[in-house]
Amino acid sequence: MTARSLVFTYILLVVLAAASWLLADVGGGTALALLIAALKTLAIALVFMELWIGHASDRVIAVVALFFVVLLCAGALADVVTR
Amino acid sequence: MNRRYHLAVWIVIASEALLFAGLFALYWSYRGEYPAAFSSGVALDIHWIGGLNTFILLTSSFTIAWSIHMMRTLRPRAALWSLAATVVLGLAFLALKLFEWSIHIHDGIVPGIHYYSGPAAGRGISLFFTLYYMMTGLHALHVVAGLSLVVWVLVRVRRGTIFPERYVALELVALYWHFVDVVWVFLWPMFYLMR
Amino acid sequence: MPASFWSEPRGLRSWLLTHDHKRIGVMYLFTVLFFLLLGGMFALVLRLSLVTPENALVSAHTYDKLFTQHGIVMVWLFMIPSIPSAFGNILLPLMIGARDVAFPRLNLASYYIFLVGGIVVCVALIAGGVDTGWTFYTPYSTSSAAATNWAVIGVFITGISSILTGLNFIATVHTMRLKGMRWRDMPLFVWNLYSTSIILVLATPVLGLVLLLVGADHIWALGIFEPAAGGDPVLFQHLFWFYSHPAVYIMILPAMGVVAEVVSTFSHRRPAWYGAIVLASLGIALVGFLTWGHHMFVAGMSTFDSGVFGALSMLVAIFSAIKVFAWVSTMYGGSITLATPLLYVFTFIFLFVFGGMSGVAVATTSLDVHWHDTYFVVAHFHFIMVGGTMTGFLAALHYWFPKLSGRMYSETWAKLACAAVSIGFILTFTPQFLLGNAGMPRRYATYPAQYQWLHVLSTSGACLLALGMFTVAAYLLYAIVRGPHVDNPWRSASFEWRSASPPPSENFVDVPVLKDAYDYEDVP
Repeated sequence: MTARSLVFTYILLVVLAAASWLLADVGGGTALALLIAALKTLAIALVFMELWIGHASDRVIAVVALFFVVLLCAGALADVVTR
Repeated sequence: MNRRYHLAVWIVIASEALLFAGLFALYWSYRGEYPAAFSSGVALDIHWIGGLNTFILLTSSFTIAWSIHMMRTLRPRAALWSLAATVVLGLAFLALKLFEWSIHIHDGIVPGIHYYSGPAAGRGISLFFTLYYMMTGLHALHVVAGLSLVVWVLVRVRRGTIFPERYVALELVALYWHFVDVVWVFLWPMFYLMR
Repeated sequence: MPASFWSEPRGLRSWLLTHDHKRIGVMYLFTVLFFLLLGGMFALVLRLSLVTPENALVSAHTYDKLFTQHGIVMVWLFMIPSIPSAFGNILLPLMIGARDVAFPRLNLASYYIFLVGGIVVCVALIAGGVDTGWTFYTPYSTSSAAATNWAVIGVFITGISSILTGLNFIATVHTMRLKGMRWRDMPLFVWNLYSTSIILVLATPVLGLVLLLVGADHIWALGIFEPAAGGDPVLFQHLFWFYSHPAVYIMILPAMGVVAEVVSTFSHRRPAWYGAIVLASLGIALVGFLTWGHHMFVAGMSTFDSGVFGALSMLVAIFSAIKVFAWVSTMYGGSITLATPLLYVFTFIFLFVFGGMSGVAVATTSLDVHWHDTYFVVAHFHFIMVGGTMTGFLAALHYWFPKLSGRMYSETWAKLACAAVSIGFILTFTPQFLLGNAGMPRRYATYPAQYQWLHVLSTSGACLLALGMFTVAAYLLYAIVRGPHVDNPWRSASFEWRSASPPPSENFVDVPVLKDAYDYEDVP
């Protein structure tokens, strides 16, 4: 990763965090906060963790793990809200 | 050879993600059951510490990524300074966390069913704070582990056993550190922003 | 001829500090066999006590401990590690032409971690015993006796060992295949170990967490699942089964891998539908994660979730069926050698099919309402776990015994024992389907007198099964010292048979030349 991409990504992260902070009380806050968190994660994973330029198998591992995390949360949450 | 270690660290990260997953599932399920209690719980958290800690960890991710870049561009001394910055930031995070917990405990907010619902009564509030302690606690443990690894790498850079031709250990530790940052990226809105 | 891995390097220290995957696998093998014996003893006493309706043998509380401890020991100390950690460790590098796994020292660590975990579980057994059921359901588990904590810690520790093994296998398969061996050249046992390893590294952490929560709740009254604090015991079950359902695929996939190898070797034929078996293996690993709620149909989970999980649970049957058809296709038209490993595979296929079908039955929500927590479910999972995994383990034991020892066992005794095990199994568990359907709940120490005949049948079967197992131990031990020397008695083309029996420390004397693992046109 070039110096420029690292610095840009860092600035992006800080901007997103600030946005998150400022928009905390806006309606639909939960979805927005999670969306911003997802974007930050993408930035860290693709640039800092070099998934963008790395091996395909690393990307597969990351995606699969993410899928299962969401799966567990979704399964339990769905139960609770549909009772 | 290096491929093997890279793969192993990504598998470890995946495993760790699943370790946290259970707690995330509990949070979201209980939030689904007690939305009001969770909202008021978030309102009770100390927001400036949460925000500052977020900024600290994001910066530490940058500094450790920067140290790799310095290694690659044959500037090990700059890498060393970047690593030192990472350590300082990590310690600052932990210090703030402990400070934050001490304030909570002082206010009577403790984990478990002994939680004395103070300002915001109602079912579910003790669950919120139990999860708060468990999740930020487990995360803090990972910060400690990650920080230990960063210190180890720093010492090796200082000694010269990590150098521009061979710095795999630095890359691997950085990966783990970024993961620890990512977990916090989600903990922050969950416990400090979503009210 | 180079010395075998058994004798070279010499000395106790060289064993205790070994990096050799074969030695580590052997240590795992003997350790899991010990735990099989322990778990089996619990089962035997349990079954003997059920011979009379009023259970003259043990008190109700002791009965609770018996079925709990049978479950804990069998699931985590035998079933999960048995094929992957023992045979997987021994065979995986050999089968891909490598000299060892990716991280040999980590491998040794994983064994010792497993051993410590097993010892801690034994401490629990001695420190008063555990009576929560192997499933540790809250709120009972968070308020029951202190020994529960020891069991929870012990299992947690073995979980770490599982994750490390899975990690090692994945890294080995990705990076240490013989030059020129593409993914589609890999033996099917390796593919199944790989699929198993995916589950090991992703599911086990969730178990770790939920056990941590139970332990913490026990000690510090966190109340995370405590109704009084607004907690929800059903959420414990979500977390527990998110691991424990994929866990059963950790148990069956390696056994399926063994079946694929044995079927191919003893039909003297390349496996039919290789690609389909590979996809089915990965498919089972994936789908296994989508179905955990089918354990919770009557726990208080929503109807919506019940419907979704019930439907998703059917998917596994598709992949399992593909495999059964593939195995049978491989045998059809092949040149069959009717030796003991293949006989165990026949037993496997027969029992797995029935066990699998009973699984589809209990996955049907409306039917499970009747069968849940009855002997029907007990019969179902024993058909899969004993009829499936255990039989697969025995097949592996007999198939690779010559490889490991360089000797041959008595085929006559082996066939006799196989018959005893198979018939004993059927006699033990078929009556349990009837008991369950009639409504007898599981985990009950006593029962109405009119069901005694079914219990007597079941216990008789258990005794025959035990007899068969002890016979296996006897002739195998005899063969180790007195059996005739052999090298590749099955004339298998698979890679592991291309080195000496037993193999030398470094697996292969010269760097192996890539050949087809299933090339039976070449081998006479």
